[in-house]
Amino acid sequence: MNSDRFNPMVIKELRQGLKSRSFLASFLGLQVAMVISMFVYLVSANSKGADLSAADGLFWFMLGLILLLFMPLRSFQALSEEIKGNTLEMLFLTRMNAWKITFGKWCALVIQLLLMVTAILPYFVLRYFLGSIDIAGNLEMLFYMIIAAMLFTSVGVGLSGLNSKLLRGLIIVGVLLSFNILPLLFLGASAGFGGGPTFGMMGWPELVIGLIVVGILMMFFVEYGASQIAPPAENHSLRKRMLALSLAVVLGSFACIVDDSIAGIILSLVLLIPVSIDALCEPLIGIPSVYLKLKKFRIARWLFYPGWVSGFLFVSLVYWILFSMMYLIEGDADIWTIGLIIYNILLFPFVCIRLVPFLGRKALVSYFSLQVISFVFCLLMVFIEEIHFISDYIILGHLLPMLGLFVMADESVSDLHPFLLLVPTGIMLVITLLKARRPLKQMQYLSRGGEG
Amino acid sequence: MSEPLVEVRNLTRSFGKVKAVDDISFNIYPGQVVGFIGENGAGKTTTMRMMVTLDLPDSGTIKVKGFDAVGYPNKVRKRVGWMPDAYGAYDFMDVSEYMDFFARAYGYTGKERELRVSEVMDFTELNQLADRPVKKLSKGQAQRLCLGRTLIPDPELLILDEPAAGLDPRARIEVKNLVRILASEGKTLFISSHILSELEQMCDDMLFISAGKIVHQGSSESLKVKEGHPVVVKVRLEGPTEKLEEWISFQEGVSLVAREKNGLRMKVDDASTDRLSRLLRKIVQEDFQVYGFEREDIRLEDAFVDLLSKSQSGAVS
Repeated sequence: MNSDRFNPMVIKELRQGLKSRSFLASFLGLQVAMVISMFVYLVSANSKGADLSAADGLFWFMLGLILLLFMPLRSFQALSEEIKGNTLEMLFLTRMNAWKITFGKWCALVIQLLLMVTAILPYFVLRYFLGSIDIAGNLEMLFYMIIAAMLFTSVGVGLSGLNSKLLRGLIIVGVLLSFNILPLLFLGASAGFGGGPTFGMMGWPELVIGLIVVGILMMFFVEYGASQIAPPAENHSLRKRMLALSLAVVLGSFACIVDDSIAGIILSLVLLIPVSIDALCEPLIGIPSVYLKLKKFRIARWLFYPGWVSGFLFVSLVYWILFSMMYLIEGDADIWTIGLIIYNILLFPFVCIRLVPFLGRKALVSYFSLQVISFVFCLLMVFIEEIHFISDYIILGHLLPMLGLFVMADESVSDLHPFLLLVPTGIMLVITLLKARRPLKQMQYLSRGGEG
Repeated sequence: MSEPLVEVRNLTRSFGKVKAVDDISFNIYPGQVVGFIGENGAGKTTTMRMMVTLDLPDSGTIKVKGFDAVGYPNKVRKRVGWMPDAYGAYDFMDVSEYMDFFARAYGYTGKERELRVSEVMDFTELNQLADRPVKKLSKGQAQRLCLGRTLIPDPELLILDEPAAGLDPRARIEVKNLVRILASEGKTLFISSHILSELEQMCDDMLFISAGKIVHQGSSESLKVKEGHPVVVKVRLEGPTEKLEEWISFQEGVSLVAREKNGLRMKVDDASTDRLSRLLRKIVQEDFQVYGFEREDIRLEDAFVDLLSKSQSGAVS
């Protein structure tokens, strides 16, 4: 097979990766773990009233540890290694762009993961002969494990481009929190009018949609990593936002056509959070070639230009389309209230950053810090309200975006008035529009190739 | 003269309050070897990084073969090879794997790739190090590897940042020889260095930078001998020097520096060739038996230090 067909980064990473101590340690560790688990199987199989569940548990635990923890952990060094080693710049002067570099790294890690899996297949077969193993069920389990490991690896590669380890941790915690909070909000809202959506058992349509969504997510995280290391002349906003859109379309279509519930849209809202934060924190780029390349998109190009101005337009459009779809499916007016609260929460740190230019220097760090500060402040407010009744607590819940969330959890969605929630939304929109005037003019100028 | 390969106009780059590059302009023509000289922190690397599209200027333009480095970086990158002062080495990779990877990254395939890698390894004499891990190379060997990597795409313009820094004398000569061969092959080279004497032998033109500003541009000769500035001339003649000393005392702009065996040294107010040839003609017309008339050049390092002190005191415009 001609190796020229492969991305050069895959070849380089495999050459390095297979010689690395971490791969060797994981590989040997897995072999030892498998031998031990086979030994436990043998002992269990030969004992009276043979119960293989303990041996089975050990087998899957060991496998999970290596595939879902050790291997993905290696990916957190993927790009930071290049940054520390001062090797990225010389790669950018070759014909490779940031996407090829990041995608190549992810592919190489996935190939190493598959090598690990191949190495454990003999133990799989051996287990079949030792006891009554459901080989089809086990293979299905292994398949999901591989998919999960590939996803975790893409998350690791995506975040490895960030300098701050704290920021990496905050992003992971933020995404996990969103996974818990948002479904609760919307499911709570819809529960009042007809039992709400059910995620139900996974059938073929769900499995296919699930795999497509996971595939898009993997590409998004790899793309996010690429955008972290890319030179300014590469437009990664387009790809990231295109991936986010395709995610919304897939899950939205599923919600409307197959499932007839809002579960898919809730999931896409959650998954869109990292994309939205990234879009709202993007710096503006003054390179004409980036803008000229998007001319073919006509009016839609204003959603894909790099920078926070188009990011704001993109986020607003996508979120309100999704809220509208939810309203069309469920027909509940509370959807608008929840939508406004989520929209306001997303915009609040963004507007603060626009108002204080100093915060824009490290926009992503500022965004997360402001969200954390706002969260802690609202927790304190709730605590004080519990002890000393504050009469304006609900009114404040309209004005302070994060507090609205607590009021909803504490009281009920119907205590909040959508029209009052529009006040902070309006203020933030006016500030954003005022701050966007100059960048918009600059973008217009750049979209003409920096002429006229 | 032909169209410039590189045109830099009013280039400025600041880091916080520090102006690393302050409104500099210059041209580089095809086939030229241009030295870029300045003390540490003068703005050499920042300028070079902007030229190879790895950094963006605050203002000003850089054009390489007519392509703007900010607007069309990919077109510029195809024409430029960059050898940084510190190269990044990879773990678990030997020299041949390293070169092979970069050849692939530059888009070479199959036999063409093997041929290009072998040509470059021959040229940089890396063949005998093919199996050596890149992390275990000496500084001189690493510089050759770094130059080899830069040469793989056969760029029109080579930008070398301190190629001889930190090398022992033998390795320095090796790098110098490689640069000489590249220059003789017609490559355009832009080289920064502290070691002025080395650049003096290699370069057609020199740019002197201090505190982000170009303080002088021209050949090394033009720095050492500036028109309108005084110069010391050694005159050798048959017979006693007294008459010549007396003649000098009546000449405007000429003064005696010292009497020497078979001649004297005099200071002339203007170092221009025209002024010196007129002076020599007058001495000969006065029937002095002159058999030697030589301008005393100062060392390039001294001229540069002199230039720096003048620029810091604001004497250089």
